[in-house]
Amino acid sequence: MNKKLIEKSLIDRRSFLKDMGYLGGAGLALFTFPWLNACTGTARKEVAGEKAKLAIIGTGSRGMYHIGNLLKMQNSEIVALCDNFEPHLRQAAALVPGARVFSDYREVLALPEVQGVLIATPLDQHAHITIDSLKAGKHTFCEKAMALRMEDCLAMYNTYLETGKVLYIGQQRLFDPKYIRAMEMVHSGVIGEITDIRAYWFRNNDWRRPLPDPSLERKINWRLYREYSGGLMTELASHQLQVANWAMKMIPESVMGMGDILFWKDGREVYDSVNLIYRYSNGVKLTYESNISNKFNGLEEQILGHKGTLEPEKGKYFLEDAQPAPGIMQLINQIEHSVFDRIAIAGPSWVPETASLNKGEYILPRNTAHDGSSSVGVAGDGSEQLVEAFCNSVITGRPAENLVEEAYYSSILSLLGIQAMDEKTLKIFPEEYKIPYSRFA
Amino acid sequence: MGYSHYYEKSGMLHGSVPLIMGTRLDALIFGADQVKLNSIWNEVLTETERLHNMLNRFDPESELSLLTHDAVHSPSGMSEELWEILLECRKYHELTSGFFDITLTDLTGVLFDLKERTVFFNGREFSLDLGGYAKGYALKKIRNFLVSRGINQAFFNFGNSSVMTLGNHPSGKPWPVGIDNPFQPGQQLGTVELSGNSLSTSGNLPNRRLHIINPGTREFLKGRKVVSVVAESDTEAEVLSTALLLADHEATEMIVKNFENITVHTFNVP
Repeated sequence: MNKKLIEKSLIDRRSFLKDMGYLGGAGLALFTFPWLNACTGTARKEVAGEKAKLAIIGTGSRGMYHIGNLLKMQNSEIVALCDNFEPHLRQAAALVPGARVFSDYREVLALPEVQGVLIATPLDQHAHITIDSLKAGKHTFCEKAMALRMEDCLAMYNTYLETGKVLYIGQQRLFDPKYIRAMEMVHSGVIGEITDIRAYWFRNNDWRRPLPDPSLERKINWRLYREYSGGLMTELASHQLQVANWAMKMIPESVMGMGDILFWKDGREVYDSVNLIYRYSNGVKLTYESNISNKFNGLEEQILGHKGTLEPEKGKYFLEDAQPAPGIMQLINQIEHSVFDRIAIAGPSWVPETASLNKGEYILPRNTAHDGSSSVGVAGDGSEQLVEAFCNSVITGRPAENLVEEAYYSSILSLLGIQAMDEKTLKIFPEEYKIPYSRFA
Repeated sequence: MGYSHYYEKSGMLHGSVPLIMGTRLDALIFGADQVKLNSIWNEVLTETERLHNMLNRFDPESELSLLTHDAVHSPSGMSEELWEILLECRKYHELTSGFFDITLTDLTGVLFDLKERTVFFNGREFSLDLGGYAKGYALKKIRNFLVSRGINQAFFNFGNSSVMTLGNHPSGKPWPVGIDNPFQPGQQLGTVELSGNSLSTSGNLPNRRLHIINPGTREFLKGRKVVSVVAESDTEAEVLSTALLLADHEATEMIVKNFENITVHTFNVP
C-alpha cells in the first residue's frame, strides 16, 4: 500500500467517530450499539501505548487483507503467522518478517506470548480452531460466517460464554459509519414502519481463484465445495442477514427458498443462484437474491418503510413524500447528537429541479459505497474499525457487547436458508438454536 | 402533502413540504409534546397553502390573478388581507427608493383608493409579483401563530433564501447559519447568527442568472452578487434582500437608514 493511501486510511479512522457526530463521546449510538464502545476515543486512550500481540491463522486473501490493515495500526503487533498452504504463509511472512511462522495452528495456540488470534481460514475450519483458541485462553477473532453447521455455531457461542474470553466475528458492517447512521435513522422512524426488506448480491464472475496446480482445486477454491463452504449463503448472505436483523431488531421465524447451479456448471457443489424469502413474525418479508452470472444490480439491503426507503450499501435514503433539504437533515443530526455546528443552508432561493426523479439523499457526507465485486474487502467498509476494536478488546480483555449475538444469528439463518433450498421446504427457526439475546426479543 | 417526523430524544418535530410558493419549506419546531407539535405543524401547513393559493400569480384563479385582471379597466376591491399586503408593498416601495417593486416596472402607476380600498391600473397592464415578499409574509404569519400557541423555539427554512428563527439553537447559543456561495457549491460566503430573527438572501443563481429585474432600468441584474439581510421583521428581511441586490452602494446607504435593527451583508462574488 502506498504512503498516500495509508495516510488517507489513518485520517478516515480518526474521523470515523467525528463523522458519526459523537463529538462528545457519549452518543446515542454507543448506547444502542454497545459494541462500538470498543473503538471510541476513550477506548483508544485506555490502550494508548499498548499493543495486542496477535497470531494470524489463515493467510489467504482475507487474512492478508487484515494483515495489511493491522500493520497500519498502533495497537497491535503480529507475532505469529500460520497457514497449512506454504505459498500463502510465505507471502504473509514477507509482509511481517518478525513474526514466527507455523503450519499447525495448535502450535500457535501453545505460544504463551500470543494474546489474540485472528482466524481467516476456510469456513469448515472456523469452529474447531475458534473453540481450541478460546479454550487455550486466547482472545479470538473469527471471520464470518461462524461455522458450516448450526451445532458448531452454538458450540462456538457456548465456548465464548464459558471461557469469558473475547470473541469477535467478522461482521464489519456493524462498524461501518454509514450503516451505524442508517440504523439510527431506521430505529428513530425516519423511514416509518419497516414493511419489507429486499437484499441482494449480484456479481458476474466464476468465484474462482487461479490454481498453481490442478490438484489444489479443492484447497484453493474451497468456497465452491459443500465440504468446506455454504457458498453464497455463508459467504455473502450472512452479512446481509445481519443487516436485516439489525434493522428489524428481531430474527425471522421461517424461511423458504430455491437454489440452483445455474450458470457455472464447472463441477462446483454450491448454488450460483439463490432466491429466498425470510419471514419475520410481524409479517415483514426479507427477500434475498444472489446470482453470480449478472452484475447489473450489484449489492444492497433495501429497507422499505411506509415513509421512505434506505439503501445503506449506497449510503442513501429516499423519502416517499418529500426530500428535506440536506442542510436540514444535517442540523437535525447535530441536534439529535447534541452537537453545535454551523449549517450551510442559506443562499438564493432554491428552485425545484425539473426532473422529478427521486435521487435520494446521502446518509453521511462522505460515502464509501462499493459495487460488491471485490471478494476480499474494500476500504471504508468498517473492517478496519472492527479489527482495531478487536485489538483494543484483546488489550482490555473486555468483549464487544452484543457483537457475537448479532453475528451468531446471521450465521444460523444463512445455514437455515441452505437447508430450506436443499430440502425444498419451509424451515422454521429451530428453538434449540435460540440464544438469550434481549435485542432480538 | 407534507412530511413530518417527531424526534423524541430532542423533542423536535421536523416538517417538510417539497413544493410550496415555488420552493420547499422545512421546519423544526420544539417545545411541546408530539401530538401538539403535529397539530401545530398541520395548521402551519394549512395557512401556508392558503397564502400560496391567494398570492400565486401563476394560478389564474388566485385572488391576486383575479385582481390584476379586473383592475386593468376598473377600480377593484379585494379581501382585507390582500389590501393590507398591497399597502405594505407600497410602503416598502417608498422606503427602498423604488427598488422593491411588485409590478417590476412602476408601482406608482397603480392607483390606490385608500377610502374605497381598491386598486386601479387605469388601462395599463400590470402583473403583480409578490416573489420578493410572500415568503417573508408567510413567515411573519407563522411566527405570530407559533407564539400564540406557546412555541418559543423553532427554525424555518423557506427554500434556503428565507430562514426564520424563534429563540435559540437547543445548545442555548444562536443558530449558526452559513451562507452558501451559489457559484461555488460547498464554499461559504459567511456565517450569520440568528436568535429569534430572520435572514433573507437574494442573488443571481448560476443557472438562473437573469431572474432579478431592476424596475428603474428594466434590465436584468447581471454580475455575481449575493445580499443577505438579517432583520427582526421577516418581511423587512425579505423585501430588503431583493431591493438591495439592485441598489448600488450609495442607494443602499440611503435605504438602510429607513429601517431599524437590520444587518446587511453584501457579497460580490469574483
